[in-house]
This record gives sequence, structure tokens and C-alpha cells, in this order.
Amino acid sequence: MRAYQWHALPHSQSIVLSSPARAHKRLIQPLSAMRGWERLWPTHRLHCWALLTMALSLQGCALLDATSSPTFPDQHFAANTTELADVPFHPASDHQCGPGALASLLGQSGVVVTPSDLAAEIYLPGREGTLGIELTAAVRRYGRLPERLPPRLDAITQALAQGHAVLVLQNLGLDWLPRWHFATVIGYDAERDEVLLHSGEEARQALPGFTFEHTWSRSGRFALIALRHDQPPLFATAADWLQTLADAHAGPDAWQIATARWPASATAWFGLGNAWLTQSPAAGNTHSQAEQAFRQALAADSSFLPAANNLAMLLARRGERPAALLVLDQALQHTDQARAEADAMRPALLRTRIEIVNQP
Amino acid sequence: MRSSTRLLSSVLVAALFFGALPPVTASAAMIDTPSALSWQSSGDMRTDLGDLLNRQEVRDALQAHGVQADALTARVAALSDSEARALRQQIDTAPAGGDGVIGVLFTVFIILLITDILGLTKVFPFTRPINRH
Repeated sequence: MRAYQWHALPHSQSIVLSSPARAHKRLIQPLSAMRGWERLWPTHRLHCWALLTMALSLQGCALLDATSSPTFPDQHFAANTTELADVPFHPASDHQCGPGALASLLGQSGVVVTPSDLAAEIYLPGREGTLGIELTAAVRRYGRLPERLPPRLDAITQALAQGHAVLVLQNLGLDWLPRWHFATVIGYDAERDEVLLHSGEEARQALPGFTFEHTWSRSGRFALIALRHDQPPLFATAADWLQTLADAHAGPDAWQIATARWPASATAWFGLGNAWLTQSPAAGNTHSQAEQAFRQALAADSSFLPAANNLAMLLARRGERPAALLVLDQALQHTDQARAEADAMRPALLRTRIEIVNQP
Repeated sequence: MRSSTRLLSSVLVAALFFGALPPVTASAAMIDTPSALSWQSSGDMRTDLGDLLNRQEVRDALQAHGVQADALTARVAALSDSEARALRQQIDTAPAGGDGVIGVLFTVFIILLITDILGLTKVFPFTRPINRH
């Protein structure tokens, strides 16, 4: 047993690794100080113990690396230490972690709301928990834009570096024994490789980066930030972000950020035009702003039928019937041989055309 | 399910009565952004009728999962079309943050203890993972 203890010493392993010959010497040396019966332990057996220990420890590392490397391309956070001081902590019991984490996320972006308010809006008694879908919808309900982060660790650290707390779903258990849990990432300690979270009943939980990776990865890497309407998205693709803006019924300010980011997107310009139309006329020349945006949409994509439809209606309302018909005919011409998918939109434009022609 | 069927039949009765199905609008209209996005991504226009039926089913499902009646309308209204579709399909299967581990047996306890200590999981508040570096 003594022999095993020696080899369990971390030092002996590193010696064995660096130089087997010297290790052999070191391992034998203490024998001289032993009592007689202990000398009976053959030295080669000691060596076997050393090798076994080494093999086991190496296999342990290798196994972990083998399982983790394909799923964790970014094994370590390549980031600096960040900690957000302005994330409110709301202690939440096991089942209420969703409302608690969301209250922290919204609180940091300036929305004052308590977990008990949120519970009525997102907690699902039948599942004794909260679903990510309803949580995302609730971010919009409180006037913020939800952005799903890409499933990479550096997305979280980049969001932190830009001052955004990140709501994450973790599976604290195992794949076959899941324990789903929402928490809010408030920082990362690069020196100690620890992720800092407001998690359940625990404020500023310091979780080793390794453990965080595993628990987050097991959840499908759900990570969400809440943006104000005047903030641009961090990672979102045009398609995803424009859908988010449409779902949120965003106003012109948010759509203008989108057209600045994706000036070649006809959809972004179209959304901006519609957003101007929803503004009250008291807000200024909203109709000419809308017209400009619809024209930009058609400049980006001349076959973008919805923009032609809305621009034509706008012009017709102003009494510019020939201009309206020109816009419609040009767009319809462009789509004759272009996209087959335009078909579902064509009837709407034809109806608009008939109405404009029959306008008194 | 029953109330969604009821809704469908009343919508169809109304449609027959007025001689046209609701999504077929007879007059010209501004096209809203969600419709344009749906047309662009799938080639189809979203229909109010389809969306209405879907939301009715989501409402029933939420109610069946214990959501208070007075919160139902606002919760359904908060969902986008695609979220409503996803929720209807996944309400029983999507991960629900807040799930406890129910009936943890001794062996499972030991396994989770070991995986906690290895830093693979974080089930128990009293464990501290061994340093990997």
C-alpha cells in the first residue's frame, strides 16, 4: 500500500514522464529507509505501479480530450476578464430559474421587473419550468430585442465585452438524466478560467470554464441577449435579425440600424418603409420617408414585389396614378422570368393594379 | 382540441356565409413585413386563418399545462407565428429550465457526484471540481 501512495504523489508521475531511468532511481531510493519486510517488495513491482498510475491518468485525460475536442472547437475562452457590475440578482428557487434569469437579463438592459411578475408570463406549471421559446417572446414583450447568440463560447465573451449579460440554458445533469437550468452569465475571469453567473439561489457563482462548457454544450448551447431598439445586433444574420424586428413590430430607428448594416437587403428597406407607415403623421413626413425606403428596396432588388405594391399604393393615395402603375408594371415585368416564388405575391399586385386603374 | 375544432367550424360557417375565405382579400392592401418575410423564405404568404388556428391550439396546450386562464391571451399574443408553431410542436419535449432531477437513486447520486467532481456536471452545490490544469 505504501508503494501505491508514493506513486500517487503528483511529483513521481512527472519524473516518470520526463526520465524513466531517473524515476526508477528515485522510486527505489526510499526503500533503503524502510523496514525489513517492506524491502521484500520487488522494485519492478514499484515500477509497474508507477506505469499503471501514469497510464490511468493519461487515459483519463485522453478520454476527456477525445470526447471534448470535436464538440469544443474553442476549448478555452480566448478573452479578457470581464465582469458586469450592473446585473441585478434575483434569487430563484429551482423551478423558477427561468423568471429569475430573465429578470436579471431585462434588469441589466434597464427594464425593472420581478421574477414573480414574469412567472405568470413564462412559467409553465405542467413542465415545472420555462421554455426558451416563451422566454424569447417575453424579451420582446418588455420592449427589448432578443438575439440568439451563435453556439460558440467566444460569442458569450464578446457579448460580455460589449456590456451585455447573457442568459444561458444549461443541462446541469447528464444527457440521459437532464436537469435543465436557466442562468445569467455576468462575467468571465480569464486568470482563473471561471465563468461568473447569477444562477438560481446563488449570486456570482464562479463556475470553472470547463464545467460551464459541458453544462452549456449539453443544453444545445442556448444563449440569449436583450438589446434595446437603438442597439445593433452582435452576430445575427440579416434574415434572422429582420425576422426579429418584424416579430417585435420595431419602429423606424431599429430598421434604420438594419438598413445601415445590410444596405443591399431589399427586405430591410421594405421593413423600414412599413415601419414609417405605422408612425403617426404627426411625427413628420413619414409618408415621404416610407416612399424613399420602398424605392431603396426596389433599387436593391427590382423584383421585390412587396415594395412595389406598397410604393404604388402610397403614390396612388397621393393621386399620382401613372407613377403608381409604372412602379407596378416594372416590378411585374421583372418577375416574369425571375423567381418562381414570386407567384404567391403576384395576385396581390394584380389586385392593387386593378384597384388603381379603377380609382375614380 | 375541441375548442379549436369549434373555432374552425365557426370560421368556415362565416366563410360560407360571406362567400369567400378570409385570406383571399378582395381589395388591394399594403403588404405587411411578416407576410413579405414569409413569402421570401418559403414562397408562401402567411394566412391569418392558419395562424389563428395554430394559436388556438397553443392556447389549449398552455391551458392544459396549468397556465392561468387570465394569462393565456397575452401569452399567446406575445408569440410570433413561427414561435407559436414551434411551441405547439415542442411544448412537451423542449427543455424546460427548472426541471429538477426526480427520484435520484443512490447509484445515480454517485455517478453525478463523480461527474461533478470531474467538472462535467454541476448538480450538487457542495461539490468543487478538481482542477484540470
